Amino acid sequence: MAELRIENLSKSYQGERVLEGVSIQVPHGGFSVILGPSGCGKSTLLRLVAGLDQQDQGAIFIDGREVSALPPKERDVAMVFQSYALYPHMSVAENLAFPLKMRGMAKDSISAKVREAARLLGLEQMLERKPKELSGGQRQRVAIGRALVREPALFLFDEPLSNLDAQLRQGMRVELTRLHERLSATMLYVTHDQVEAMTLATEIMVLAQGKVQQIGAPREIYDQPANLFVAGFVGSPAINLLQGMVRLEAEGPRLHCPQLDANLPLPGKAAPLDGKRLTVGIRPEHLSLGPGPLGGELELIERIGAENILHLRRAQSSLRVRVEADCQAKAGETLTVQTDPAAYLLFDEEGKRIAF
Amino acid sequence: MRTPGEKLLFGLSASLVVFLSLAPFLWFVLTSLKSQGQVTAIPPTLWPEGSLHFYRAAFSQYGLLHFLGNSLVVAGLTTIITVSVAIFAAYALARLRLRWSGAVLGLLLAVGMFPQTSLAGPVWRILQSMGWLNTYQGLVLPYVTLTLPLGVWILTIFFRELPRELEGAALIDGCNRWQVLWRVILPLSAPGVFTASILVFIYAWNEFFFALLIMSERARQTLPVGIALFQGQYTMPWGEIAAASTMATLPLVIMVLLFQRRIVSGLSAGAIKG
Repeated sequence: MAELRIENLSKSYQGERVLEGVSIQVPHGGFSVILGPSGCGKSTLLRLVAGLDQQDQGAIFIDGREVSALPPKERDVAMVFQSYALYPHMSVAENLAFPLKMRGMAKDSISAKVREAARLLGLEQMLERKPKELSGGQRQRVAIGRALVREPALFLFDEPLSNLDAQLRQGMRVELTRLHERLSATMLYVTHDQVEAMTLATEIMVLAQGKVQQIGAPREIYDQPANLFVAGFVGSPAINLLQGMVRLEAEGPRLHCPQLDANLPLPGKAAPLDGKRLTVGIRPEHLSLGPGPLGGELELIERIGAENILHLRRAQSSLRVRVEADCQAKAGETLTVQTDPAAYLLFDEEGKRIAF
Repeated sequence: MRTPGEKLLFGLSASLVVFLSLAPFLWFVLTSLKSQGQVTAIPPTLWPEGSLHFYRAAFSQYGLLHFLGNSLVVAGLTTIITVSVAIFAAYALARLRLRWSGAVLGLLLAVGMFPQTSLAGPVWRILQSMGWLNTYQGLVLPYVTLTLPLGVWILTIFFRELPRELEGAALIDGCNRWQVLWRVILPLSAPGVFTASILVFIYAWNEFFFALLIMSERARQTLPVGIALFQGQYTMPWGEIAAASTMATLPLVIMVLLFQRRIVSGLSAGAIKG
């Protein structure tokens, strides 16, 4: 168990900036998830922490000790890779034992530790098998086992679930959460999957184009996104974004939105923004069918099971509305939508959220 | 699916290629088992009597064992040295972030294509000034130089195919670079190492030109040169030459048969992503 602190980390590959001034902190026993689209630099960040690459600038501290220049084996971290990276020529038992063997641990202690890890992860029956004889989920477990036998100060996960099918992934998410509670270890986890991030993390760091966009608890990232990127990236179905100009009218401020051909009432506190251009973000669950300022022709109904997502089209734009599964609307109908101004997220011209 | 006609055509052309490649080999194996009279009989006979006379003669009168020994030493040393050096060179070229690794590989290929005759003179002079003519090292040195490009290429391609994450895992698990190579990369590259070893061995075993140039003393000559010099001023001992050629070919055939699978997988590595 340890604390990870990263200060002002930058890295370029062949003249291209991959990470720019990234500073984050993972507390003792924290489960921090770095969330971002592919190519945002999140895997690079993990490789820098592990010592597999060298940063151009900045420093990395594990438990107050600077490790920036140390080789991977002296950093006391363990890493689980997306491809599992099991040693194909070794059995499961040998794979689990390898990090202990490389650290010169005595044979009896190694076999005790291997047995314990195997029991914890349900791998006892497979110790003699080679990785190629295992299923994806079992391989993933071996990879996790190889990381935890050593009891490292810090666990690093690089998209460990993205090669598994949907059902297994869900199972492993639950297992990982349990494992984290049990070991109360410090974990840094990288993913592009927001569901993984929301379910696993005690804290989420959203990364895009090499820069930290926002750091916060999962709920905070969802409810109070720092900018348009975070608002658009987190949440499925995606948030509705309405661009327009604020006009102060007799009944209060309104957003004149040509894209949806709408005149949307804004909350009273938006009055000082009169004449400004801004973007209003409305989550699909904050819209409902009924008389209101927005609407359009029902183009598509996505049936997800417990609920439906309606896609309404008007002019060049469309709206996503989350409704109950028993909704009777039919494609081609023209519907209107009620809104709740209190749930609006307002973003200024630079894309930053305006907090009231 | 192939049509029966295509299958027939394929079978016929494959048999033709196999027959054409094997015919000379079959002929000298058969010749080696003939009697003295049968070898020069007109019309020629196909099936031999099965006499081992020529084998005995090749060993006792022509010193075949001696040449076999020389070839084994030279080809064996060449293989060990070339493959050991190639492993390190290929790992560096495949994995370390070197600026000129592409250029180095291209240059190696170019060096491998140098006509041997253009090198013969300088090589002979260098070896002479070192006093290495008629020594094992005098032949092993040019062989290593000539086979290294092949070895480095085969192994570089092999190492590149291995996932980088494996090395990352090994480094994090406590290995240094040497241990990564020794404990993870090499065990996984066994087919590539085998392929490189066998191809290098075959090259050194069969090489004639440099062997003739550098080993002028009978005592140091290797098999190809030794066999070529079986003939006297007035005699052409066909039977003994056939017996010696059979003895020279057998070790290669046995080796390739034993490692056939590994060689095929080694040669086709890099061709398809698997």
